[in-house]
Amino acid sequence: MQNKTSFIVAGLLVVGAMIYLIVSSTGSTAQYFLTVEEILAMDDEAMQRNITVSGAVLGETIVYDALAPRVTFTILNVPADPQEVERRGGLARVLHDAVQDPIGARLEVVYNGVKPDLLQNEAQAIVRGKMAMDGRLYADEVLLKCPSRYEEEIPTQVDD
Amino acid sequence: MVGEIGTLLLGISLAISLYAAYAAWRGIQLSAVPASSARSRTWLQSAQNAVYMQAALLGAALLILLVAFLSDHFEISYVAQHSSMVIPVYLKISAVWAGQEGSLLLWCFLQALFAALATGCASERARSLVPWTTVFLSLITAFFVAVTLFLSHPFTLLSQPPLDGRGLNPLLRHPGMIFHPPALYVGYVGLAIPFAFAMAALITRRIEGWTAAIRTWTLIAWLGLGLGLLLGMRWAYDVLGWGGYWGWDPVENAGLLPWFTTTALLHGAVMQEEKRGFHVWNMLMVIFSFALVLFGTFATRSGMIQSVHAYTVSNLGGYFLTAIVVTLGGSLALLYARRAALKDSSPIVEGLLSRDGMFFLTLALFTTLTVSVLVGSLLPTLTEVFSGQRFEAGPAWFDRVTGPQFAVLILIIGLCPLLGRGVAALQRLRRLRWVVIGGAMTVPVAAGLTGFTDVFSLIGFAISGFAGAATLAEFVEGVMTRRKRTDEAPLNALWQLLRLQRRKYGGYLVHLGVILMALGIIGTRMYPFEMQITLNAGQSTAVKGYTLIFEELKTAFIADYNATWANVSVYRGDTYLTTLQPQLNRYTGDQTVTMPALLPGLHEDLYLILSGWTGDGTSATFKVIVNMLVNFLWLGGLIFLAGGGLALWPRMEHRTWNVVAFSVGLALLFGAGWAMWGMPHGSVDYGDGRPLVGQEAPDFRLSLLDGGTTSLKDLRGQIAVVNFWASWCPSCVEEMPALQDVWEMYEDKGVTFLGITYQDDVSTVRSALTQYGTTYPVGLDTGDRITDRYGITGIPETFIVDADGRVAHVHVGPIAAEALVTQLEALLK
Amino acid sequence: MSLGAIFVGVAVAVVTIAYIARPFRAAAMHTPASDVDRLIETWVRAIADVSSSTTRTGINFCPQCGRQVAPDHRFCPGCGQRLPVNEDVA
Repeated sequence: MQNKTSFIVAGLLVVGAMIYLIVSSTGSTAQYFLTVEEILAMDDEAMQRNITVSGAVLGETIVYDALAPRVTFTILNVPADPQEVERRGGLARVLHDAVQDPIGARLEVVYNGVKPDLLQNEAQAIVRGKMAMDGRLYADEVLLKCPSRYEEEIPTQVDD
Repeated sequence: MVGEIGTLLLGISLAISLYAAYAAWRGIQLSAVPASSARSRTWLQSAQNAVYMQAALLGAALLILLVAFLSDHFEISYVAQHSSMVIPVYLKISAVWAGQEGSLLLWCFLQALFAALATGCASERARSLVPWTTVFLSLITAFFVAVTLFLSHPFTLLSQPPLDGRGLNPLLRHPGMIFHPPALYVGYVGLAIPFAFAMAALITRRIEGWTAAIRTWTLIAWLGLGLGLLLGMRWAYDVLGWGGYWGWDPVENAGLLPWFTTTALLHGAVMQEEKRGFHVWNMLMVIFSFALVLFGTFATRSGMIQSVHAYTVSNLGGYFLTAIVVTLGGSLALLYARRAALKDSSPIVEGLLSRDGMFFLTLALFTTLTVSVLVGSLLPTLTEVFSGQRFEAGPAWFDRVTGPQFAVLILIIGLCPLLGRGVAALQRLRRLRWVVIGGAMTVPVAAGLTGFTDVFSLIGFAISGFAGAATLAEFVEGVMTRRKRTDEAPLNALWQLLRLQRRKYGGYLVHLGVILMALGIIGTRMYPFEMQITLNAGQSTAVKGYTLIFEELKTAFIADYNATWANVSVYRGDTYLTTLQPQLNRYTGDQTVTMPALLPGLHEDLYLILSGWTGDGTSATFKVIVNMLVNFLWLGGLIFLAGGGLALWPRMEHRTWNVVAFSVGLALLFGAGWAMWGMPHGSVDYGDGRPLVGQEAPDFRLSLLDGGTTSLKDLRGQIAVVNFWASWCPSCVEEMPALQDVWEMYEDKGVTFLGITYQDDVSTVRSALTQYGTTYPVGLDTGDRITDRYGITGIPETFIVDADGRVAHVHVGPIAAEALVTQLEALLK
Repeated sequence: MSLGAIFVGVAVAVVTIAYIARPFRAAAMHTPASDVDRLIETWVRAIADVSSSTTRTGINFCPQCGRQVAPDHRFCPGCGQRLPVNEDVA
C-alpha cells in the first residue's frame, strides 16, 4: 500500500503545482478586459494596469504614418455581454450602430506599428495596452476581426 | 433544383439515422430471447443497411454541394458567399468547407462514413459491441444532421441569385487550408467512435477489451487532430504574417484540448491492455474527449468565449450546450452505474519510479494540462463570476502555466524507457547512464555556444537532450539485440524492427518528434526578435548577422487583386543568400493580405513583412522577425506524423497489400511534408546575387558582336562601365543615347564601355546599335551566364568597375548622363 | 420545390426504404444469407453470448436493462424481461 501512497502524493503535487501556476499567472499576467465606457469611468489607480478593450473602429479617424510606422484611430463603445449583443441584432449590427452613434463613448488609440490589414470602418478591434495621461490608449497589441460575413476561419491579425 | 435535392437528401438522412438507432435497439432487445434471435438478426441487419445508406446519402449531399460550387450555382446562398467565377478549381473545392454550413455538412458526412466503417469492419473483439455502438453513433449523426438541416442549412436559396459570388476570403487561398479543416474534422469526428464503443462496453459490461477493440480508430482520430493542428500552425506561420504559429486563441485551444485527452487515452490504453488497470481513467478520458469536441464546437459558435478568431455569435450555441450536458450527464451516470464492473480491475501497482508510475504521471499531467488550458480559455467568464472583474488570459499566461507541465512531460518521455520493470531496469539504467548524461549535456552546451544563453531555455535543452538520448538508445539497443539474433546489417535490422513492432517504435518516433518540436518552441518562444525599419531604395541595414538591401518596389495586377512587393537582397557578410519578396495584396473591397517572405535555415528563419511604402516607391517599411530554431518545430511535426502513421499501419497477409499500404503511407507523408514546407515563401534567387560595392567584380568572357572576345580581367587598369540591356526593353533603349554620349567623352581617358544584352538576338541588337549610333563594344550573353553571375533582377542595370577590378557603383534602371559622369569623374581622381 | 427535385427525392426515398427493408423481406422469403447476413449472425451470437453468460464472479445480468439478477431468477425484477435459462450456471 505504500506504493499507492506515493502515487497519491505525486498526483496531489502535480495538481497543486497546476493550481499554483494558474493562480500566480492570473495575478500577474492576466489583463482587465473592459469596454470603452468602463475605461472612461476608470479611476487613476486603474490607469496603471495593462488593459484589454474591445470596440468598433471608426474608419474616418484612421490616420496612418507608414514611415514611422504609427497608426491612430478611434474606437467606439461596444457592449461586452454577448446576450446584449444578440438582443441588439448581432455583432455586425452592433458595430454598425456604434459607428453611427454621434454621442457614443469613444477612445483614441495610438499604436506604434504597421497598420493591420483588417483595420477598417466597423471592424471590431481588441486592443491591449495602457492608458496614458493624455487620455489615449497606447497599444502594445491590436487584434482585429472582420464584422463578418466570413464566418469560419476568420483570420487572426495579431500585431505585437 | 440542385439545392432542393440537397435539402431532401438531408431530410431523408435524418429520418434514416433515427431509424438506425431504433432498429439497432430493437435488435438488441430481441436478441435476449433465443426464440426471437432470427427477428433480432433481421432488425440488426436493417440497422446496418440504414447506416450504410446514411453514409451514401450524406456523401451524395456533400457531392451536390461540391457540384454547386464547381458549376457556379450562385442561387445557393452559401455558394454565393464563398465562391466566385474567377477563382481556380482547387479553391472552389476548398470553399465547400469555408463557412459554417458547409463544414457542418462535411462533419455529417464524415460522421456517417466513420460509423459505417466502424460498424461494418469491426474487429473480432468489437463484434459484440457493434449494435449498441450503432445506436449511439446514429443518434450522434442524427444530432448533427438536425443541426445542419434546421439551423445551419447549406442549401438555402436566394430569391434573386447574383451574377457572381462574393469570392473566397483571400486568407484562405492557401493550399494548406484545403487540408487543415478536413484533417481536424477527421480528428473530431473520429473521437465519436471510441466514445460510442466505450458506452456500448459500459452497457454490456464488456470492459476488458474495449480499448483494444478501438485502438485503430483512436489512433486515426488522434493523428487527424495532430495533423490538423500542425497544418493550422504552418498556415498561420506562412500566411497570417505575424511571424508566429500559435496564439493560444480559444479556437486553437478547441483543437488542442481533445488532443490532450486522446493522448492520455492512448497511454492509458497501453496500461489497460497490459492488465494494469486505469479502466476508470480511460473511460473518463474518452468521455471527455468527445465532450471537448462538442465543447469546442459550442465555444467557437456561442460568443461565450471572446476570441478574435471566433465565428459570429450564432444560434447553435444553446443546442450544443444541451448536447454537451446530455452527453456528459448520461455517460457519467452510466459510468457510475457500472462502477462495480470497473472496480474488478485493480492495477498491479509498482513504485512511482517505474514504468507504471511514469504512465500515471503522464496521465496526470495531460489531465492538468487539459484543465489548465480550459481554465485559461474560460478565464474571463470564471473571473467575472468569482471576482466581478473580467480577466483575460493572454499568450504569456498560457506559456507560463503550460510551460513547466510540458517540460515535465518531456522529462517523463526520457525517464519511461529507462525505468522498466524490476531489477533489469536498474541494470539497464546503469549501462545507459553515460549516454543519457551525455545527451543532457551536449544539447545545452551546443545551444549555449551558438548563442542561446537564457537559463530556463538551457534547462529546457537539457531535458530535451536527456529525453532524446534515452529514446534514441531504445532504437540502438533494439537494433543491437536483433542483430545478435539474426546477424542482419544494421539498417536492415532497423527496418525489420520498425516493421514488426510498429506500435512500440511508432510511439518512440512520435516521442522523438515531440522532443524536436520542443526545441523549436523553446527557440521561438524564449528568443523572440522583431524589428521595424524603413529603408530607401538601395539602402541597406544589418540585422542579426544578415545584411538586407531594399532594392526596389514592384506592382502588378493579378486576377482580382493588386500585388505590391519589394525586392530585398539578403547577404551574410559578402555572400549573397537570396532575394526576399515580401508582398502586400490589395483585393477589391479594400481588403489587404500580407504575404511574408521567408528564408528558412536550421538555426533560424529570417521572416520579412512588407508593411508600407511611400506612393512613389522610393521608400518602404519592413518588419523583420527572426524565429530561432523554428524549423525544428516543423521537422519534429513530420517525424511525429511518421511515427503515428507507423503505429497505425495495418499488417496484412498478402505481400502486395503491404507494399500498397506502405506506398500509400509514404505518399501521405510526403503530402504532409509538402503542405508543411513546400509552399512558396516569397524568395527568389537571382543567380549568384548582385556583387556588393567594394567587392571584386565577377569575371566573365564575352563574345563581341564585331568578333573577338573580351574578359573583365583584360580590362584591368581601366575603368569599365558594364551595361546590361536588351533591344526589346524600352527603358534600355531610352538610355542608349546617354551612354553613347558619355562614351564619346571618356573613351580616351582610360574608360571602357561594355554592353551585354540579355535574352536578345543578333539582328535586333544590330539594328538598335545602328539606330542609336552605339560604337562601344557589345556582346550577347548567351545562356544568361553573365547575368546570373551578376544577379541581375531586371534590365537595364549598370555596373562601374574600377581599375582594380572592384565594383565601384551599381545603378538599377536607366542611368542619366549626368549621374554617369559624376561617378566617372569621382573615380578618375 | 421544383418538380424535378421532388421526383429525385421520391426516388431516393424509395430506394432507401427498399434497402432498409430488404432484411425483412429476405427473412420472409428465406433467401440465402449474404455477407451482411453472416456479419449480423456473428453479432447476434456474440450478443447472445454476453446475454446468457455469467461474469467472472458468477453473477447474472439482465440482457435488456443490465440490472443485476440472481442466477435462479426467470424474470428480471427491474424490467420484467424473461431471462434465458442457463444450463451451465457455475
